[in-house]
Amino acid sequence: MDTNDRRARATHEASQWWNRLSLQKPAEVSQSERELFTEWLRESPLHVAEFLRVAQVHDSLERFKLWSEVEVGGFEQPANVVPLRDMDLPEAAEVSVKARSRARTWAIAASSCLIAILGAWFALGLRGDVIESKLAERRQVMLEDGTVVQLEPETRLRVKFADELRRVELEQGRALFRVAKNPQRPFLVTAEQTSVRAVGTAFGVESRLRGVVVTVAEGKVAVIDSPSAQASGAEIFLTAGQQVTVQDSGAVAPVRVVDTTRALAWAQGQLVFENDTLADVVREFNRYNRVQLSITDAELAARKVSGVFEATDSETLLAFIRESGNDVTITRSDARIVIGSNTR
Amino acid sequence: MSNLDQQNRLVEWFRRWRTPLRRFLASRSAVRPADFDDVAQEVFLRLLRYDAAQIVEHPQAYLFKMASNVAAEWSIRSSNRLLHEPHWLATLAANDSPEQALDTEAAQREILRALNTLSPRERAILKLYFEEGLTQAQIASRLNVSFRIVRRDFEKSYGKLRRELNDELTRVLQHGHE
Repeated sequence: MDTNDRRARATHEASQWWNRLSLQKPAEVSQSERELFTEWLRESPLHVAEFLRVAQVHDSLERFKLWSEVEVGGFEQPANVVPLRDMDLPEAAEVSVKARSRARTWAIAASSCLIAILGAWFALGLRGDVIESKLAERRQVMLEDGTVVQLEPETRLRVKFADELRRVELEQGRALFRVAKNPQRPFLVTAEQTSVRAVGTAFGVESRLRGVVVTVAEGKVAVIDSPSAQASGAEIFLTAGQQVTVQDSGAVAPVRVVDTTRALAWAQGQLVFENDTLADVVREFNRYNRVQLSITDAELAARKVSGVFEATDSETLLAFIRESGNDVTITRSDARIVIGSNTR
Repeated sequence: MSNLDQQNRLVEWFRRWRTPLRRFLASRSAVRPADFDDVAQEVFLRLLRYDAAQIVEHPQAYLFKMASNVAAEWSIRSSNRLLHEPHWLATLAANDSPEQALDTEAAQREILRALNTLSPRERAILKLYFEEGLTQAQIASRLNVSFRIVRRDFEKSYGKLRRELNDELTRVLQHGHE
């Protein structure tokens, strides 16, 4: 990214912040939003400069007196609503995806603020260090460059920072990265054979059974699906709202446009299932909770489940399962909940 | 929901950062656009020196307060340094002179020109906001578009205007009145 790009990006972000903080919902700016804004300002002098410039634009508009001379085409008269709407629709669809992903970015960012230890600062002795989270543990870590990593349960990262490259190896699990911008020092996440390169952006990387899943919440990343692809420069570019899965075989599923609210819901402590088997659902829940669920009935395990659950709220899941059929039995002991069927 | 309630909250919010912003913009009269990034750099360094928890309380108020301090210091320094530079003399000469009205008129025209580079919808949204004082939600229903579109257009237009507006001319506007 050259200077102009960085400036353009800073301008865009400054406009977004101005819009959030000064134009809409004036009294409803939350503590976490203010924290994020402060964080953003302290990221770069460019951010400060552009925010002040946007303030200046706003001020100019407030003092502008010739509004009567501003032509607005057909947009003023409600009578023109019908043709305008038709004209708007394709753009509206495109916009809502972007807006949603943006809203989601804020949501993720905001929620990550709430996840305890904000600013746990491991500035010293981080090189080549391992950061890991245990079963049912979610944690947020700030790396020495200011990048914030949110680790989901049972996740293991190895951080290897060098002067010219920031490298993080995702050995298992999944994590959301909010990368501190530094074009001179790219940020590279590797998971198995796959590498994800970012300059300043937010994205999630999951090392799963079926492969490595990369989902971009904000900005742009390059995905390199194998070391040989890296050598040949074959990169897949993903922008906000896109997701790609690199299978273990090395096959790359096509880039998908996803609703990042759902695709990265885990970063907000939510688990989203869509036609997944109960066995998969239970496996996912077990990573987030100490009390482990198990299913004794194969038919039940294969039952399809769709829904959004709080990751730490197994009770809602159990209630959901119980309601889905009257043949379900639930047996509790100290650290286990056994889901069975009483039909056999 | 009462309109008055909303109005009060708005006033309360504005009170927090409006005054320091005004002061900053006014003191900017002596900061040359070319120096703007240096001023911002200095503000940035001060922001880093402050305790984040403190800033978080009223981030905008802090920002504008620091910016107005830095700009004031900057203008004192540059007035010593640039006393004989044509630009500085021109600023002095423009004060309270008939040229000022002209400059203000020119500044108004400049904003009009910049606004005309926006799309009709973006212009309509800004017009409803600034001329009629509608909220973004009201604008959305007035124009029969989604709230997201209104918000997105706002963001886009501010970005475009920031690139389009001629710093020099609008500067005059900023300290011309009030």
